[in-house]
This record gives sequence, C-alpha cells and structure tokens, in this order.
Amino acid sequence: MAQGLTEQDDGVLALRASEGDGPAFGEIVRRYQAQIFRLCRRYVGSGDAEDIAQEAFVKAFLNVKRFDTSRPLSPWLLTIARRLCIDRLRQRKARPSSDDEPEALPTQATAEADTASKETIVLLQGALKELPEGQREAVMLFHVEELAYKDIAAVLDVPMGTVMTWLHRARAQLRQKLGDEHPAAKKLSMGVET
Amino acid sequence: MSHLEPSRIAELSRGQAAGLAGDDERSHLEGCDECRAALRRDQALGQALRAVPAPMPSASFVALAQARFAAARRAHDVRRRVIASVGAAALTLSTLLVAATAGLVASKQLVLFVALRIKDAVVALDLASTLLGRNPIVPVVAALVCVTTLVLSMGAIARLARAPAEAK
Repeated sequence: MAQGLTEQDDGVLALRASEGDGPAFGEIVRRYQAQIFRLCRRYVGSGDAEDIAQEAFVKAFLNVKRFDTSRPLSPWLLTIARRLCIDRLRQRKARPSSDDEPEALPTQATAEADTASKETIVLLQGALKELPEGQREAVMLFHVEELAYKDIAAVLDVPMGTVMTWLHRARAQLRQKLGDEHPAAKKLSMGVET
Repeated sequence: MSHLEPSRIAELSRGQAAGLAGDDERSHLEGCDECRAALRRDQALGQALRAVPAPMPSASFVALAQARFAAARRAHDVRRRVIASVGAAALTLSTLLVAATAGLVASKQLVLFVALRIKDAVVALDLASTLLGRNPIVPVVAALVCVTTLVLSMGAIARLARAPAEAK
C-alpha cells in the first residue's frame, strides 16, 4: 500500500487525504515536510517551526476543497504555512528568526557543500540575515525551493514584479557580500547545455 | 538577438527545474560572454544557497501530523453534525410553532396546516442535507432562518395570547 502511495501524484493523494485517508495524507506530509519546515523555520525559528508546519498540513487538508488541483501543491502549502507563521509572529509580537543564532553546519556535507566552502556558507548565512524578510524569502523560494515567479508571488502575496525586484536586489546584495569571485563561483561551470 | 533578461537567466541557472534553454537562447549564450557570465554568477549563487544548512524536521513529524489531522477531522465532523442537527431541530420546532400560531388563528384548519408544514420541513431538511456535502454554510443559514422564524412565531403567540386578556 505504502509503495503504491509513493507512486501516486499529488492531486490524487490530495483528494484521498480530503476524504480522510490517513496514509495518503502522510505521504503528502512526507513529500513536503522539509520544504514547509524550512519556510517555517526561517520565519519563526526552530522553537515553533514544527508545530506550525504540522498545523499548515492539517489546515490545508481540512480546506482542501479550496485547492485547485490543476496547480502544484507546494505553493499552496507554503502560502498557508507562511500565513500561520505571520499569525504566530503577531501573537508573539516578536521579530522573525533572523535574530536566532546561526545553525551549526551539518556534519554530513551535501553535494553543494562540497563545492561551496564552509567559509562561503557562513558568509552567505550572514548575508542572508541582513536581507529584508521579503527579499530573503524570495531568494530562498527561487533558488532553494525552485518555485516559479508566479508561485513565489502567490506565496508571498505580492505582485510578480515585486518578486522580480526583490530577487534582483537580493542577488546583487548577496553577490556584493560574497564577492563575485568566491570559491563556489570559480568551481562552477555552465549548467545549460549549449 | 538582444541580451537575455536577467529573470530568464536566473531561471536558466536552475538547469532542469526551469527547462533547458530554447535554440535561440542557446545560440545567444554560446556567443555572448556577458550573458554566459551572468548565468555562471546565478548558478554559483544558487549552488551556494542550496549548500546553506537546512535542518530537517524530527523523525516523528509525519506521525504527529497524521495524529493531528485525524483529531482535527473528527472535531470537524462533529461540528458539522452538530450544526446540521441544530438546524434540523430549529426547523422542525419553528414549523410546529408556526403551525400552532396558525392554529390559534384558524383552529379548524390546524391539523391540515401542521401536516403540510411538517411535509415542508422534511423536504427542506432533505435539501439541506444534500447541499451539506457541497457547502457547509447551508445548514448554518438554515439554522439562522429557523431561529428567526422561531423568535417571530413566539412573538406572535405571545401577542395572540395577550389579545383576549386585553379585550376583557
């Protein structure tokens, strides 16, 4: 059964979850937990991130009839999660997690971490914290979560032009902090087939 | 071909995720040092951003979310049933009160009137329960209408009951 679920597409699973199918709901959570958790963590810090991320999944699937199944699921989940994060921040009347201490580097290096040195990563973490919230979120949703411009606009509840402007400014600021000649840049080759 | 838009270069920097460059874009990139350099810069930035440590949720995350979902669904179902029951009860009660009011006015037709109103109530409840699955607001509206009817009926009964006493 579990093997069958992993092969189902999001739309089918969403429909089953809306009818109370626990395993289908679990499969969707498994697919998107990391993405939703990361967003929550960026907004509210590590303390509340799991709680809000779970709440986002629950809320999404209690109201799944509002979801347009022709659209990708992740922007919809991210939108709900972001709204819950903002509500929580309002409740606390505190600032987002940018004031938190930086995360310790993972002991297991990712493929990207092999390319970008630890030094670059630390530098980048600092530079990200200096970005305004909207710019930071836009750049993470674009480069890390790989959302389309229109989906980022929906998640952040701003026009697409604003997303483009934020991304342009964020990239410029990050590059300025890192310097165009940082080690990761030197090691990279063209990613597009020519 | 003029230079590629920065937003397009940024999309291309994600490689497969945004689809490969079209023929025009590909040939432009081959011949344009400026766009190629911009693409490399965006790729480098994306790679560095993806290398930033991304903590994962705990191992129990999925199980806890499932438990919360099951509990929330149960609560949601109970709420819907309560709303439907209250709506149905209010509708029946108000129908009977309307019948009783009418009975005071025209007691000869009371039996027939009650029978007709009960039939109407059954039809209305059937309709409400059909619509319930599509739109949960329907029973809420039905309940509000019934409660309003109930209050108006009670007012009418009170007035009718007072009228003979005042006449005396």
